[in-house]
Amino acid sequence: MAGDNLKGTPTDPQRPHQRGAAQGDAPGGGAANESKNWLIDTGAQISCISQANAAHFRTAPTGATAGGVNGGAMPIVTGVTMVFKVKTDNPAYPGGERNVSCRLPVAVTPSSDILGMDQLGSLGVRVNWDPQHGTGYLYEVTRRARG
Amino acid sequence: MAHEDFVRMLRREVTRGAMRDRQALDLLIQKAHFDARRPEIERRYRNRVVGFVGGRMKVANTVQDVLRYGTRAKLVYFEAIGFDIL
Repeated sequence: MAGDNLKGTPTDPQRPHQRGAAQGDAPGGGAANESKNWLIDTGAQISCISQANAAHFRTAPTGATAGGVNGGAMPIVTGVTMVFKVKTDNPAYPGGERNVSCRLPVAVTPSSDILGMDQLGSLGVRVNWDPQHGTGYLYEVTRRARG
Repeated sequence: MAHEDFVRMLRREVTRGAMRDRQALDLLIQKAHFDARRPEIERRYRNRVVGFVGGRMKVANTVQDVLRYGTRAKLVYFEAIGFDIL
């Protein structure tokens, strides 16, 4: 399989990040595709995009909560597709890696771009992370490989 | 304080065109349903996600599961009981 696809950042070396993308419809029409540095957060039950990033997409409200972090309030929207890379043992991908995408509702936060466990779980993606060295990978195990 | 934060967030969303007035009002009504039953909810549904949509309470294990009860016309107000979703 391919090598690592997660790494720490110079300012946040112990937490896993991956360069991916957010896609959707632009507010003025046409397609929007924004490069994103996702933080993979195993403590997040819902994925998030920042307010500034949400402004690039035509989103629709689906709900909200007043019980966010520190009692903050968060709108939940649809209309954003998160794109990220996973290692795979699927022989259809001889490079050992493929892009996957997920379009679940996301929370809009003041400043965070977070890939949460909702999206990874819905795709059957797992996390391998070494916080000491700041390396790791997202990966999928195909049914054939699971035996 | 959380309620004032919530109202402020709704105003901001309406101002920037991300939400309509009636959707913000709907969410306030759903939150009022939640608040009216808050003591019971916090006693009975620890570690679950509880939402209200169309005046009806919905209980699920995850945020995504409770959001599935919503529609474009009826939004979901929810809280995680006893834990943070982020």
